[in-house]
Amino acid sequence: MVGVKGEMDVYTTPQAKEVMLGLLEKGYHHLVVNLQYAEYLDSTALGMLVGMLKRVREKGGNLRLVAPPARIRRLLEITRLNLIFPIDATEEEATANLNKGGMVS
Amino acid sequence: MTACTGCHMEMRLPNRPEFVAVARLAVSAVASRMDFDVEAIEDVKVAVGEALNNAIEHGCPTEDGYEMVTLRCELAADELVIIVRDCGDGFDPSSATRQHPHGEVTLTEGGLGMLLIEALMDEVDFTSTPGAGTQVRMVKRRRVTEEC
Repeated sequence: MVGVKGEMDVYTTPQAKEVMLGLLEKGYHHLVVNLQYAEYLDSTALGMLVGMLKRVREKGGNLRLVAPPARIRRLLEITRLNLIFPIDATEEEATANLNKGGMVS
Repeated sequence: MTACTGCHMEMRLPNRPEFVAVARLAVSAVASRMDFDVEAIEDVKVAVGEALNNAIEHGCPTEDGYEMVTLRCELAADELVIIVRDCGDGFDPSSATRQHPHGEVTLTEGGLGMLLIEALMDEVDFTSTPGAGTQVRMVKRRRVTEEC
């Protein structure tokens, strides 16, 4: 479970990427990224999340997004990444869906 | 308060990741002064961030490790024109990576920035000359609101 708070852009994304790569190295391949408190994501952040999704799926895992605010949901829709990322309303829902092993919500 | 029509603002900033937020804040403040609605301010903020991201990616850093990018805002009566200009190597915009808005969705990490700029702004022009830098000109029009 990874929580994003505030702005994730070209400056701050590398830190988030490092955290997620650390989880992957520890053998976690089912990731939940909570965007409830994210205020801003740019294309660098979206690209990083796509990269992570690719990595975990290669290992048979998945990456689910939780509660993106309306502004971020809009960016996901424009880039059509909402069709690629499973999106859940709550962390509990995401965890339950991960346990089910469902690839798409 | 409505900002002065015909005014312009220009700032130069390093094409380094830590300055992208500075550009976003500056332009969103200008849009706010022009009485753009919250959603439009957010659109402008994202588009400027992406234009700066492009300037970082395609820019040509000097030995100091960065180059200066020019950010210009032109305030018209009902539109805000934003120009981001770098002096890097330039690239061919028609061959730039971008996700097709209606094509098959693929797991591609690049090309999202251009797609966002084009979707969020009312008018976008890329001018890029190899060796002479790149200019992105973006226009956001103010939506007409009904007056009582």
